[in-house]
Amino acid sequence: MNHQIKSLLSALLASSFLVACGGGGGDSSPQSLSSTPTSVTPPPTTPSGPAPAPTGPTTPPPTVTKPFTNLETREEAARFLTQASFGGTDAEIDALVGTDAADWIANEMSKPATLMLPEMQSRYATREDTDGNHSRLIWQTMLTADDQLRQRMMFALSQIFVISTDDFFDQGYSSAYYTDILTHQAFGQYRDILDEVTYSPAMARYLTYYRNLKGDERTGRMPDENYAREILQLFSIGLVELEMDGTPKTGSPETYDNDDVIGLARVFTGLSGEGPSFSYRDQVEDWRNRPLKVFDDIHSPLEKSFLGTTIPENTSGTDSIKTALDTIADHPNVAPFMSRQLIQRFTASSPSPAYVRRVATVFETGQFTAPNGRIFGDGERGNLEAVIAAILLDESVHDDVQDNTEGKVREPVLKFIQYTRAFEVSNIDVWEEFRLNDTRNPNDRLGQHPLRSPSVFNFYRPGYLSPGSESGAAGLTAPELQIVNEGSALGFVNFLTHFIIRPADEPDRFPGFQPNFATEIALAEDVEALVEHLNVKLTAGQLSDAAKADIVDVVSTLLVDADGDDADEERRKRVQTAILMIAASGAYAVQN
Amino acid sequence: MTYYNRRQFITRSTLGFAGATLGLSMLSQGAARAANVGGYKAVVGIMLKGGMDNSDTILPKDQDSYDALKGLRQGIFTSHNSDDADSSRNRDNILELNVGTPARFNGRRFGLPRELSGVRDMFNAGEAAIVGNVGPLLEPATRDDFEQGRVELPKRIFSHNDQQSTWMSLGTEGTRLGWGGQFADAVLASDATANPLYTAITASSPDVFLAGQRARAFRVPGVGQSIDIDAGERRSYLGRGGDGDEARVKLNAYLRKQAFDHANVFRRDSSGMAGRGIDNQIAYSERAAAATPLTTIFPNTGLGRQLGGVAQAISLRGALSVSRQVFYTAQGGYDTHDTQGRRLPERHQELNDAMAAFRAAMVELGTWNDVILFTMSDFGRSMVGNGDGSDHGWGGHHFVAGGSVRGGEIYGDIPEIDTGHPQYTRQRGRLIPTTSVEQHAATLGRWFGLDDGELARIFPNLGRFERSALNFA
Repeated sequence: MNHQIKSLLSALLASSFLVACGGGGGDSSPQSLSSTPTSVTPPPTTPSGPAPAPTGPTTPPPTVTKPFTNLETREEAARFLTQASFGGTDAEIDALVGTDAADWIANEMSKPATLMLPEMQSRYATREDTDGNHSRLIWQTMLTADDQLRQRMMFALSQIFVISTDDFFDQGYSSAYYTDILTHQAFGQYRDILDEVTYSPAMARYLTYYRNLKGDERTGRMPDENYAREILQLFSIGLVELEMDGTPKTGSPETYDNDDVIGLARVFTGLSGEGPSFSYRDQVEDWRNRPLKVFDDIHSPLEKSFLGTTIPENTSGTDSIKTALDTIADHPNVAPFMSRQLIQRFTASSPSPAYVRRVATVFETGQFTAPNGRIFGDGERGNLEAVIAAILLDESVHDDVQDNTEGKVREPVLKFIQYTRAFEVSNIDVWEEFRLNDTRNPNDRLGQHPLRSPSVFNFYRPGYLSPGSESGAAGLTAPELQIVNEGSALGFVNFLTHFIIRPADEPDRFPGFQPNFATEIALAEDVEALVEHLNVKLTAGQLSDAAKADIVDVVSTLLVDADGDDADEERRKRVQTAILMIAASGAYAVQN
Repeated sequence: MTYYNRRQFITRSTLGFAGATLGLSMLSQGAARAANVGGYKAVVGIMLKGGMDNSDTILPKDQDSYDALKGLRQGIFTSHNSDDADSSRNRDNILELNVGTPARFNGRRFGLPRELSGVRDMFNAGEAAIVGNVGPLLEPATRDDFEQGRVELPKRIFSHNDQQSTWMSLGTEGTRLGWGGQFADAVLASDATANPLYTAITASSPDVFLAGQRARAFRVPGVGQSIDIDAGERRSYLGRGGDGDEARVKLNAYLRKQAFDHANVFRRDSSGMAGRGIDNQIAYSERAAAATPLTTIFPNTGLGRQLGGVAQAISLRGALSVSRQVFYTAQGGYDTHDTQGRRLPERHQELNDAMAAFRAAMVELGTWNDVILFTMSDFGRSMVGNGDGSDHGWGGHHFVAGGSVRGGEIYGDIPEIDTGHPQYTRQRGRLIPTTSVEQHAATLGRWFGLDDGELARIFPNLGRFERSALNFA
């Protein structure tokens, strides 16, 4: 880390907050009072704010200050939906204008969870049929489920508590059960996730502690260390001691050493599928979608020392696991470690230390009070309802200050789902769509699949600095650039080209993923209006002027003979070309 | 097979290995002498992700060592069904390596599993060598040094991502410059005619290995993978009329454009990467399409396609205007904490078949003497098993292969199979490296043409070791 740059950035950011807080985002901000007469027109969405007098200083009128989380324009609404959901339709954007983001979040949290295991069980008669179909079901769920914030949180958590269905057999039910843990705990308690993940058959098989044997002094065999190491490094505390703002403490002291791993490895022994004995043969039929059971005769009876805690010898497996997970969850690193990564999944690739500190503080207190007074969280440390609200409603996310190091590079999955949702794509049947399932060919594939990262280290690392890039040189982390880069650019464009062009052009041949371009087709003969409409809908109005000019130029090149026989198709070609060009733009690649 | 040919002889005479036995104090630090960029040379790295189990790759062939290893990891041998007559881990079936200086090992003999038969053939033909017990070090270390904190150690020794990064860049995750990228930088500094775009090439992800000050990894497609902008090529996509043709030309230009007026740094990076990536890939594929295809067939596996893409790039070296190239490929799946008997042979077979095809392609191109293929990995693994798998270690054994490699030899050391030996950690038999990554990599750099000053800059701890290079090339 470049500490000079980091501290410079935080200094800049700190000064920008002063402005932001002063501005408040309300309609009676100091800026509008002191502004010149030509710019005092009240914003159109202001329902009750009195317009300032056009001339001279007067007594400030009584103010009706809306919190900065109020979404005043279509741009603000569209922007918020790319952060908190998979992106909005025109109707969803319109409905949000004039409302408070906190209310939208509360409403999302009240929606019933879309779970996968019941769907898996109703679709398939036998367990064998489920293999390989988790991949399809998770796409179907993320593409169509109504509980969007919960599904985004599931996706975020799945990139921290990583399993990959590419890497173990017999994974249909166990992966569905695992995904449901993350879904139903999306706004739950961190400690509960740690517990349910640890006892899940999917994680146990992925990180190889399923049927992990206690050591054997005679042969020298030792327990598998895999889970002990990764639960510390990836799921809880990380490798170095952190300040609350997520930066390493002075000298980067390491949080644990190899002796801690050896001690903790003894804890995760004796776990097997539910049944009368440890033996595979005795496991109940549906052990894959139940918590694992601890068999104490296979559990290590030795003393277990790690992170300054010692579990005495002959402690039961269940008690040992409880003590271990309590110890891990209580570590002061958990709040900044988890907070920074969750921020990266929603709003900022390289969050400022101040932002991390605010969210980590909420992680500690378990409660967040939104600017409009709404309270999130039950006050218990590690409450994720409070944490996600704090991330999405943070002042740095909603201020008007242009900070050119803010924003999040979007992973391919998010970019694709925004397309399908923005154009209300219908007839989604992922069982018929091999393009989503196969991610190998970089020339025409998305290059990412939910719950199928190449290793437990996720698709990308939270500390990734892109080699040779401007952000990397400035010390700004950008995890997603590990898979979104020179090598994947063409594949992404070609992948989206297929979905934008072919189902609409050849519905008989490609009946799935039918987009609804009706609103856009109605604008097709006014290219400027078409591009501006798509600009707001897809990038919250943030296309660069240069990109917009290019898009208008190319789209205008395509002719429409309004009276000709091909007018409908010609209009559609304009729409498709405009969408494709925006989807390939820097504004679509990065939400800000 | 003729092992020494004239070209190799010249190579050895000019680059020499006088430096191999010199301490760095005698090297000309920061001298203006530039990298030697005559002829053509390439180094091709294969990163074996997950940590390849050294003890289950270089196998003991003599009975005593075999029994000793089996005793420490009975479960792994069982998972290989080693008592079956047909098992690759049955001692009878282990393919023996004819080591050039067997006396060093006091009767210990070594072999490879059947899955690595092609590598064994290269070794016994003098075209491949093993570098034993190599890993990240800042200075020489033994178990006592390690346990008593007497030496400076690399950070985060047993962590996957950090040790992958350390192998490639000498620092934990987040380090900016890889030694492959710095090799490319040295070439670009010395050869004004070298094409910076195609000097550092990845057929895998943009990992830190190829990150240089100036060099930037160019991603080549796998062999046989076509590259085009669908919407720009297919007439039906934007409309079949003349207006559609004009729009396609403009669309292609837009997609290949790198600079838009973004204020946001991530948007500048994203636009730059997308435009540059598409522009370079199209330009590259146009050259590839015009060239004579290789007749060598590469296996249709992840690593096979990647090494095929590398071979194709080497076949274009004239058209691409390069005299030195650094390549990067990767193969995953080596984190064998369990079911090692199923997982590891699959990985080895893929590695072997891809390496053998690559050798065939280089022979076809007449460039086998001009390339060195070398493996890297996060770390070796614990010699003491955990059941049917092994856990994270530190030092490991690696392959180097190529027509100019002094093959048929084990460089560095392979400590005996005894957890009481001072090069193992106490509890699990994890090897403490006896050769540092810097010594290993500097050997490749020297062969590649870098001078002592450049090597000393890239590998700052080289002077803390007795030898600044090995002797394999």
